[in-house]
Amino acid sequence: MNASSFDLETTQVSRHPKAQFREVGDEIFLVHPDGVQIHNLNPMAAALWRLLDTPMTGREMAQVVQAAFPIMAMSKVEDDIKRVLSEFLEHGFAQGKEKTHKKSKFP
Amino acid sequence: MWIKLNGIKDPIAFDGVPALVPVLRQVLRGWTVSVVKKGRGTPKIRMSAGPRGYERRSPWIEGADALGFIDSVDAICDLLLDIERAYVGEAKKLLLLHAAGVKIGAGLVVFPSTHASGKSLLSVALAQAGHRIIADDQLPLVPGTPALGVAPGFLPRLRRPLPHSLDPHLDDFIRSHPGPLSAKFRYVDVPPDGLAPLGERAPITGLVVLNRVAGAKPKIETLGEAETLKACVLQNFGRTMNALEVLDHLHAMVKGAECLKLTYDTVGEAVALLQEKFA
Repeated sequence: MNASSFDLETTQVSRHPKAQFREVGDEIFLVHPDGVQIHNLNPMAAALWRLLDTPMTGREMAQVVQAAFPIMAMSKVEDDIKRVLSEFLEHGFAQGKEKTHKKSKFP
Repeated sequence: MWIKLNGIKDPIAFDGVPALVPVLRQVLRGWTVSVVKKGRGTPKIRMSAGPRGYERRSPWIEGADALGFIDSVDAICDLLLDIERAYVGEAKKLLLLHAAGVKIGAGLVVFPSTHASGKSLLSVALAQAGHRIIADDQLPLVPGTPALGVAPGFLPRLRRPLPHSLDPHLDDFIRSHPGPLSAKFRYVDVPPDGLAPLGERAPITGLVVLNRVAGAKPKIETLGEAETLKACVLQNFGRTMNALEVLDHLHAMVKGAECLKLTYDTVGEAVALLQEKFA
């Protein structure tokens, strides 16, 4: 799964198992799986990284964020989430897989 | 000509550029420089004459085969970066920060580099005021509690021209202790009391982020742990250990030091506030 094929609705995003991080105050310092780069996340990226404690889709994240900040338009929330998750995926901090849907027992 | 520096295993080649060696000797403090026979060891760092002037080749150059400099002093300024990297790489378990560090009182006060902060000039001004420079630009660190700053043994280097508003006493001090000079840089041959030789260590007690603002009222204020760590992480360029290890060591250093932000306009104001706080 790469960033370009990422879908807000169907791609379940999780932290890369080798991406490590430290929280200091409100800041998150993220260490790339390559063990060389250290990134300091902006507040939005930090909030989403915290949410990625549990793998979820962008749409599920947007619902959590919108519930916390109802004043924000859903379209804006989704745009921001798409941008940040795409960067996580592109830089290898996160990985995505297509969410599998259970087949219905009933036709 | 090949030379050998103590603390660095491999010789450094000066192929057809022997004139650079005296300049190098002038800017080093506490290093032993000896000439060795060609063929003894394999130089990682090579200086030579080429179409770009004095050319440097080394494993640390990214995106080009060599860097070139017309002026011999500028070439040596650049070479010092490699010497520092080689030293830190061989010493193992040292971090390298783009920062100045000056011993004020019993402890080392570190100034992580920020844009146009004037850390080298401030370091020289503190030396003139009776304190001891450990480093003015690249500071090797021994992680631990407390973290220790290690002197790289280089003369401090100022950008030219010096500020017009410079205090006349400081201006006199700089001009009366001349080191190698180019159109861009001026080394200051600080007396031995004011500059630590290679390898001298001092415990880090303060981390001060410099904020030089024209016309600002001078003040020194507490800076949060996260903000200070951010300033240090941005200036870390050692590559001798895993990034998570680096992050944890820097965090421990930040936790063990008094973290401050110093806003100032003139160097004199900065020296006065730092002495009040740490001396």
